[in-house]
Amino acid sequence: MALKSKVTVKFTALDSIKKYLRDKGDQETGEVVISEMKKAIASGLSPVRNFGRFEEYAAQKKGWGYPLSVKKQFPDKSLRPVNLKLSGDMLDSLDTKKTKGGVEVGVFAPDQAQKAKKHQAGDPGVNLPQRRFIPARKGEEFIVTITRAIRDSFAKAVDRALKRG
Amino acid sequence: MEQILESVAQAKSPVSGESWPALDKEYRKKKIADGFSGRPNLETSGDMLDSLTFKNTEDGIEIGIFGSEAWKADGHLKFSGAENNTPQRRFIPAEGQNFKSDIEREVERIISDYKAENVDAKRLQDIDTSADLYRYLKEVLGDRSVNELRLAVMRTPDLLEAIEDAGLLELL
Repeated sequence: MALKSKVTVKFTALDSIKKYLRDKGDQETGEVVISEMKKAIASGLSPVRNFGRFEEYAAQKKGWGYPLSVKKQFPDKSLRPVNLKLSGDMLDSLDTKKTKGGVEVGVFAPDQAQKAKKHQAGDPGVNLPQRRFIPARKGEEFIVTITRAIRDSFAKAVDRALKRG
Repeated sequence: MEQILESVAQAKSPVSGESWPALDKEYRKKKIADGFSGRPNLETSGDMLDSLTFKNTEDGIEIGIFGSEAWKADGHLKFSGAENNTPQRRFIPAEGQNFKSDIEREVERIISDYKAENVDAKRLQDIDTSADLYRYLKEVLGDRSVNELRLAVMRTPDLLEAIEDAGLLELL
């Protein structure tokens, strides 16, 4: 099952704008969210509000283990920032899915969704701390930078819709 | 804080007019050998950036590193004037300095969006012209450009809806 987050912009009036947003705006907003999520994650920051920076790798304390263990294969991988990136496949698979009420952002490809869930929830069995990167639970929301980008994207879509009449 | 962390991760100063020098050759070699990035991203243990936080003050908020990591931060920021052998890499503006314009603009937008969410819709009923509308928006959202005021309206569904309800959409 995919790991996903529903992005909803509440809007109750202005039919032509609503139609435009349904047709194009939601998709654009989803893409903006993914781009901003990647920026936050690349800097070691959880895109989920109140989760702060991702917890350090165990190898940082121990001096051995991941990611030091994969340095030969992935020379660019470093101890900091903790950025959920090794091959990059999981973050590359962040995607949007149009729904009736808006758009969902998440990791939908089954092989990558498994990986995503492990980061999202943590796995004490393999010493993997929780590094929450998708606001999937009730009450969770994106960090301010991302909610700002959603609002800006929404404003641009409204502007275009108004100009089209 | 989010914008500071994103800038720092890219080895870029979030402070207007500041840029960061590359790492010293020997230190860079050591940092890479220890498993860290060779870029000047202010990260080894990560404890200093983990401590970046904010405090509410009477005038607003204060962003900084206030606890046991403050001495490390000062080593990069050089606020205290204490000498050390690290080059200045400011990630928080000193007094008289500002954040880069894109960060400042976002802060201003956060404030005007907050105000936009609290506009009194009844006042819109007395407006007839575009000039009146923008005068009113300026009064409640602050002295911003027409483009910024228009964007503030469009970022705020409730205000946009109130403007439409008052029949003023074409004045925007």
